[in-house]
Amino acid sequence: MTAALRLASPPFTLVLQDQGAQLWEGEGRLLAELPEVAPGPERRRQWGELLARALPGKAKVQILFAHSRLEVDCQDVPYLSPRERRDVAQRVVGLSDSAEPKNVGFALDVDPFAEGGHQFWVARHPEWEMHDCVAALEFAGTSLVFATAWQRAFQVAIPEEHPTGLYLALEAGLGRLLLFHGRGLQLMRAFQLPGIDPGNLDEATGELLTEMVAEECTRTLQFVKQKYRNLRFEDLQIVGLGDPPVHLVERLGRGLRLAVKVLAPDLSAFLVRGMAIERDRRDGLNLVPIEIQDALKLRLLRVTVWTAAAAIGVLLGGAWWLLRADGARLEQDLAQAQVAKLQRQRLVAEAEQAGRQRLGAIRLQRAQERQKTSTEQLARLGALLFDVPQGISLETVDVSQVPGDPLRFRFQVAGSAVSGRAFSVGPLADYVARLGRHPGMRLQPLREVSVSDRTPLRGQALGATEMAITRFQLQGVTP
Amino acid sequence: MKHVRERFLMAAGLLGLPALIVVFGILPQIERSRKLRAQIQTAHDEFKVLPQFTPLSHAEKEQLEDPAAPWRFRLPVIVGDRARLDHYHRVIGELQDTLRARGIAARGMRSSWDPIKASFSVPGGMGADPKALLPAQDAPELKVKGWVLEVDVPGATSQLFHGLGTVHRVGPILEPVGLRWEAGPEIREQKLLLRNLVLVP
Repeated sequence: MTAALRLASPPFTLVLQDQGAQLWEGEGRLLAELPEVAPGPERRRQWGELLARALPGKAKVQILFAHSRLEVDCQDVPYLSPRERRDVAQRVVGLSDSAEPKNVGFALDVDPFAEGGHQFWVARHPEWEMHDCVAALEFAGTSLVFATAWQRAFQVAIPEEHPTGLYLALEAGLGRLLLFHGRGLQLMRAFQLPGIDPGNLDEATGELLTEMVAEECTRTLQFVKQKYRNLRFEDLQIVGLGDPPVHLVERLGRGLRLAVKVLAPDLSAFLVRGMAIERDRRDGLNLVPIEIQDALKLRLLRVTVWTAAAAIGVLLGGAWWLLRADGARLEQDLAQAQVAKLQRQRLVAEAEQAGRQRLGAIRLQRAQERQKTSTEQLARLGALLFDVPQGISLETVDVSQVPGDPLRFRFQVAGSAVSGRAFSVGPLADYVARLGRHPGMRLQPLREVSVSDRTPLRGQALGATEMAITRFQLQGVTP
Repeated sequence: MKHVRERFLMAAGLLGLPALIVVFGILPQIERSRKLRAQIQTAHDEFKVLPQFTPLSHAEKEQLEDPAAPWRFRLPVIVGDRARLDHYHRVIGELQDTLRARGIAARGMRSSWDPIKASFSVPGGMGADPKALLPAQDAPELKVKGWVLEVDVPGATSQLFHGLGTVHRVGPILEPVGLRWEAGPEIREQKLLLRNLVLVP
């Protein structure tokens, strides 16, 4: 859910200091100074009015606790479940002497340099402070989206992870020395830099800064050597100073054997980046009261659910509308199809009616065609059968139509052939050959062919080849 | 139980409203579209092929519907013995007249038609009105039936073919279906076989 709280544009940052507060815009540039006011209704009203003037309506605001009232503890721990984290945090808070109600935030980091593999951060500050801030923000018509500790934002913004790191954070009038072991804060020492603005150093303020930083570093290193004997570090990484004075580099290098490196020139931008990273983490250290977080989660859930419901409703409504339009189009198609069906029915009925009315005429036409064809075929066949060669005498010719289609005639011819001067059955052979040449003629084999001597009549003189007669019967079918 | 009512409303909005739209809006529309498509398909399937035909012209319709049109008597409808006898008489008469007009005097005729049994006088009742032929010839339930008439043609063989070329002039349809020819020292016969078609119920 924390990841879901990612914002499209960077929120404004309210930085709570020991004396008053600052308002930064999204990139960390100073937008307004809020004066120190007594806690309670007066602070809420005055800060609310100032915030209302400085911020646009419904602006998102995050709080960075940078004052000394904030207490931060880091412990090496094994993995803790969410419930165990709450218990440990309550125990840590319970160890403090103050009976003042505290607003608590905690986070568990994987830390390869910690015993147990994890580092547990607990941050707390007076509860009334958060109530004042929330009331002032509500007064200004803005909303609180995130709150965390200055130390935590600083640690998260460090790009590279080292076993041990010594950092110097500088801002106008104030310096902080921080010692990290892995992801755990071992030590933070704040010191005043009266009259010194790291962004605007001259020769004199540079030397003054060198003196004060060297002195604080010396004290800190002595303390560290006494308390943490196993910690070693060789450089001092500076945030908030773009171009360290030469004196500072030489002094720390020669006296304390610390190499000076610039980690980031702008402290506020560095912290804003750290806050953004922490805000986007799933279980980041968030000091926003749990009821406000729940309200934010509920609001987000509400927006998500109703947006999803609206989107689903729109999509389904669109689908329904498209289907409805498709149904209307199909209804039109059906009406057209039914009209076409009626037209076709009518056409078919007309065709059937016309066919029925023409049936008699068609029957007659077919019969006339058949009559004509039959007459032509029978006349042609008759002419062929009766056209006999010389010497052939026909006795019977019987022609009859073969039932069915196509139109065909079966015939049977009986007759006799008188022997000529050449071969005795020559005329019959000529006759049969002539019939066989007729297109489509199918002759059956000659049957009952008999050749007999011809009995000469008294007084007739017959030659040797005129002494025979051939009787025959032939059958066939022709189209 | 915090915000229970709101969470219930959210669940209803996220699940109930879409379910209502689906159940009462989308699914009925899908079913309706499916039915409409099926009806359209059925309408298309019932008459897929358009019949190709030439509509009846006015003149053709008049001719086809005229019960006294000459074409009706070439392939008449025969209902009952009286009509059959009348038709028989008409075929024989017209054939004889036609052959005689061509110089052929048929020596005799035989037919294959069923024996006619009738109580009315012949040929006194032959003058039946042709318009009384029933039913109409376009009735598809009528069957075509044929009977064969054998015509004895005298004279030379050429007379047989002469007669064959004449029969198409006779009003009723006479289709030549065969011929019989026989010649001997003492006999000479030639016969033409003609089939007449009629329509019977």
